[in-house]
Amino acid sequence: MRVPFNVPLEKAKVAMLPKFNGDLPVARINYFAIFELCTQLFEQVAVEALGVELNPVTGIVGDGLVMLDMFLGHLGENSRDDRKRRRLLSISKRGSGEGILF
Amino acid sequence: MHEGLSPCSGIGTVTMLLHFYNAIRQLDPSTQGVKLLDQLCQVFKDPLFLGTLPTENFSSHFHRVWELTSALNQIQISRAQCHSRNQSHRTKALLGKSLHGFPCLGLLVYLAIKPRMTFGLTSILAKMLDDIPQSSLVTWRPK
Repeated sequence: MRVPFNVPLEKAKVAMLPKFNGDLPVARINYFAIFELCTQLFEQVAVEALGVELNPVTGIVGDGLVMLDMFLGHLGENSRDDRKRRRLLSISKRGSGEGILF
Repeated sequence: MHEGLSPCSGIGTVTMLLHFYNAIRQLDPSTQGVKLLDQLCQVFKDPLFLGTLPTENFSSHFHRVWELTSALNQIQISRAQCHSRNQSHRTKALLGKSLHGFPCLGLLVYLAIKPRMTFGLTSILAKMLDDIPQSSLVTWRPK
């Protein structure tokens, strides 16, 4: 049975249009900008937290990434029970005006 | 789209940031959220969170996703992980130097007591978002 060429095209259109016009239009997102934002953020973290200098050759993104990885491990370890969780929250609320996390 | 998704899911920076943000939100729900990161969590829920946002064991979830994406995109990720592993040693050395003899007190305590440290991710993010026009980041606005 021969199917008109416009039939699969219409099905593809119905499937693809939500990616452009739906509630979550993933096809219209600038992923490079998101990647660039995260890269700059990790550079900022490395500079602020570790005191390293920007290096255009080797880059310092890995420093920030590894540091947050260790930080994430600490968060997990300190949130296993209520006592540790309370201590974690009390630590996070200290600092200069705002919490160290947010 | 796929060219842009590849570095996002592959290198690990977006994965790390979103997992870290989710961990903070899960541990302290009273923290003020960042709308953009909330939206990114929804956008990347399937590829970077494997369908559900983790509520515990955040580090292992992150490593599981990272290894999975590395299997999907072997060349790029193995290079990134090698780079990360090489830098891991250097970062730990830098941290050790910064801790000034506070052995294993924990990174959290270090961050809390360090005077000049205002490690508020929100403030860093706000600064970054000021630099980067929203229009160039995402070409849509939520309704």
